[in-house]
Amino acid sequence: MVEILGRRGQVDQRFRIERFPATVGRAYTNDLILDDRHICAEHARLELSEEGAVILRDLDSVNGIHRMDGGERVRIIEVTRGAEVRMGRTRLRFLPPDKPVAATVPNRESHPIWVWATSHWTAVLAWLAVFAGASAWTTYRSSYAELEADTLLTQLSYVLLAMLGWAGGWALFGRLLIHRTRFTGHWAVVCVYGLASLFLEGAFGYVRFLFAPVVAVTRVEFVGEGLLLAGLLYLHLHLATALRLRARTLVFVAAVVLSVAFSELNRRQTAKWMQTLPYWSRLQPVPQVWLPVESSEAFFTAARTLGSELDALAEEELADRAIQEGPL
Amino acid sequence: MQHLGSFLVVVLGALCATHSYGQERPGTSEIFDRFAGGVVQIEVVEGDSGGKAGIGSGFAVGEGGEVVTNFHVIAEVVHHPDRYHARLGDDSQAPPRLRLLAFDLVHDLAILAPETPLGQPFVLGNGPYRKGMRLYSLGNPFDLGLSIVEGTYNGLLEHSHYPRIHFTGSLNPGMSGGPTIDDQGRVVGVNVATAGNQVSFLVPVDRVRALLDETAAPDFSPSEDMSAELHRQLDDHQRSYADMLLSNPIQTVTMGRYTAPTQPAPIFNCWGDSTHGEEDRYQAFLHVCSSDDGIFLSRDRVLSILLIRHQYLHSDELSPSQFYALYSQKFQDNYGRIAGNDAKMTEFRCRTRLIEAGSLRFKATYCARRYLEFEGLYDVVFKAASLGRPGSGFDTALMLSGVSLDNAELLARRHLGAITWQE
Repeated sequence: MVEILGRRGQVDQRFRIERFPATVGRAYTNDLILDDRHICAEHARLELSEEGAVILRDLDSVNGIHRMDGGERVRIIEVTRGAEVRMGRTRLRFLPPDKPVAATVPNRESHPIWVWATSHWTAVLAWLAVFAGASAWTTYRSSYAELEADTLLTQLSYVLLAMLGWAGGWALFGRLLIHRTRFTGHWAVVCVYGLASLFLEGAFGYVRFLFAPVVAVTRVEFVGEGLLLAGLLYLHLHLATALRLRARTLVFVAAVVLSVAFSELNRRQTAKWMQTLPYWSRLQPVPQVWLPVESSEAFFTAARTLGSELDALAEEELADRAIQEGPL
Repeated sequence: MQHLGSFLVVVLGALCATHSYGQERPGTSEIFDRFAGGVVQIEVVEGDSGGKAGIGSGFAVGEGGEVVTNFHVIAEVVHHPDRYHARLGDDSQAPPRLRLLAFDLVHDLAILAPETPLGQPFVLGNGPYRKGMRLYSLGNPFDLGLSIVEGTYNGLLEHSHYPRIHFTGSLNPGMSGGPTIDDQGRVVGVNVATAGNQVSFLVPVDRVRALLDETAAPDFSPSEDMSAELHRQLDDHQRSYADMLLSNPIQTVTMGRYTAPTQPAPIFNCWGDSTHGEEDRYQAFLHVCSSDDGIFLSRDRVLSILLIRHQYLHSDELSPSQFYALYSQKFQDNYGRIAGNDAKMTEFRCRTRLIEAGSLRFKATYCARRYLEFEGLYDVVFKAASLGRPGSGFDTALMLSGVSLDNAELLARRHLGAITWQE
């Protein structure tokens, strides 16, 4: 039994050698044809020795036969009880035919709900309903102005249309690339992204209420948004392409990094000209007993440190200006 | 010759004063002819380019060796003495320079010395003055040439800690620093500001006298470092202003079930307004206190000293999360743009926490920024929004400009402490 191994050690092909001698090489006259430019037309031969052992003999090839463990070049190698060699750029493993195989793994069926949610057309409507409902509800619970039903519907329609376009685009892309449209799957991904974004927004409404640092909280939010965006891309790529796990993970990481970088740059630009006080004005209807408070005494006392903070700022600013203006 | 001339004027003035009672009042053109001579135009120019940075009016006093004007006319000379200087605005090739002797920031006055004594100096009046008294204002409106404006004396402003006379007459920019005189040519006030519509303001003459007394003292000499002097005056001002505020008993106003501090001192003007928003889904009430005091520090910064703003919100219709979305929006109104340009200030830095004060819970933020050129001087904004009640909210803002951090803390603590809630 000869196995041709791929780059990551997985088995690409298997051959059973029925009779000996068997020739190995690139030419079509061989018993075992290997498609590798670094292998000669007639590269090696599998033979039975007088004692009954199976040996592999080099036929004066250009690149020879190399042992996998050690890498030394050999003219003759015994492969009766199994061996791994390299010929040209191809790895070969020799196994006795009675090698036991691992036990059978029972087939775990994907959960029927999962299958339905990502494949059945009725799931499209279900996802639409869930997302539209969540979106409408979050809009409603934060509006203090009179909400016209048709304004709400119009806004929602625009969002849904955009999502449809996005999902459709990916489905088309998948069809072109791997001949699988999977629209329901893409649509489900977009809807999940939408729901997750709504959830993130809601969660940060509470974060901004409880935590003071403006820049830090903003950056954490950027990371959250970046992760969601990256997740979206990852899942779309999973459905629409044959990209392997490593490639998809790379895209995921790149998406997070780019998203955060872009958001941060944007923040810095706008911060320059926006004159606002650096505090979160978000308030939440949390009952008094649950509020994590400090005493007003402690608050004012601690605020005294602002003095030295501002002095340091002023020093810096004055130093910068002195450099800019130069001696008068 | 000059001295004889001014002596004659003084004598003439005195003679007229004794005979004015019962006699016909002199006409405006007569007043102009007699007294306008002592008014000068003042220019502030940049050393290198010779370009005019500002113009205003001024007038000679005493023996002609001193010129009175507003601080804000020559402010650049104080801030950048190496770049700017003041001079008389005549059309000659080499207009004579004016040397800065002293200034009074909070009253917006400055005393300059000409190279040679000027003619026709003015006499300072004494008061008391009656409302309705006829006054004549002299100066150079918009660089149009020396002019006279008639008006009426209408007493001192009520809502001003630093005294200002209300003059009913049309003053214009350029007339700043010029004298406003009675029909005997005695100075009643110095032109300082206008609000349009014949509402103008004068610095009372007794403040001019006080500053002149300083410069007349035998051991007086102009400050070497005008910037340091400015810093000192700013510090004095904020200290006396804060003392005044802290010594006034706390007054309160009721908004819903909340009571909050109002009327920090009699000179403050407080008013309230109610708004019903968005088809009556909620009610909003506003209460604001401010004073008319404004200290001109530079072209970009007029210190408004202290401002209070309370907002009360109530709704029976909105759900808690809807109400708090509204409440958050209202709490967001921020006051980063207090008192003008930010170029000479650091950024704001804030400390924000959830705090308890008595039986109330607040989200409070205490923000400050420092004057770059004046150590120890800050703008402070203190804001707090009460929490824990689903259908009503109260948020307050206290804004201070040009104060020390110690005083700001005292005022903020006092402010917060005065907020209570009735069950």
